[in-house]
Amino acid sequence: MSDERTPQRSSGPRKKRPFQRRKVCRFCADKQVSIDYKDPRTLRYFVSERGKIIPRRISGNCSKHQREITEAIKRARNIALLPIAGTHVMP
Amino acid sequence: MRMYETIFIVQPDLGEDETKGLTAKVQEVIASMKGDFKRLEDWGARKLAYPINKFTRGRYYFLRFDGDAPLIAELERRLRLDDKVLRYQSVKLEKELAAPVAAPPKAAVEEPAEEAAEPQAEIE
Repeated sequence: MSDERTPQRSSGPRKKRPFQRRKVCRFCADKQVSIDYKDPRTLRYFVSERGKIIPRRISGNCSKHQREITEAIKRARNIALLPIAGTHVMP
Repeated sequence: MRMYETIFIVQPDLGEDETKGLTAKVQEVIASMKGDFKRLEDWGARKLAYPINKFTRGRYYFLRFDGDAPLIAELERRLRLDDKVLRYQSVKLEKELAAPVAAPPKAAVEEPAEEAAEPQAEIE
């Protein structure tokens, strides 16, 4: 009873994803690359199309750099270097 | 003394003397509060990622200075009172950045209309 799947997942037992997570964070691999809120081009990479911050399990960042990225993205949003939600409709 | 950097966005369509007056005022505030003015960069008018006060473009200024807490309070108060300033953001730096971030890639952010206009000016 207790080991049964949740009722929402009706399509059989969940399979393990074949996708292998990137092992190293790109900022740890390359020390030259710095995280700066004034540089929206590198930050764009960590933002989804809707302007959301991409989680660590997908971006593959280590927790330290994910924190820095998050901080930088939020700062960049404040000064309109990055959109807050996707592409805003310009009047 | 702490290290700060401030970015402020002003209205894009200001005249020469208005922007001059604004930057002079900023430097004067720093000088009067015994701050250490490092540099002021003009990034030019750039497209904003979202409209602020119905402006789709804004002129970015990057200010780097050292000072104490009363200075930044006074500076932000001045910026807040100024209608021409759309947005400002001050960040306290933990360590000096090795290389100053070059004026951001303008070509990537500029509107295509302006890019098209530039070569014409060169030809003429």
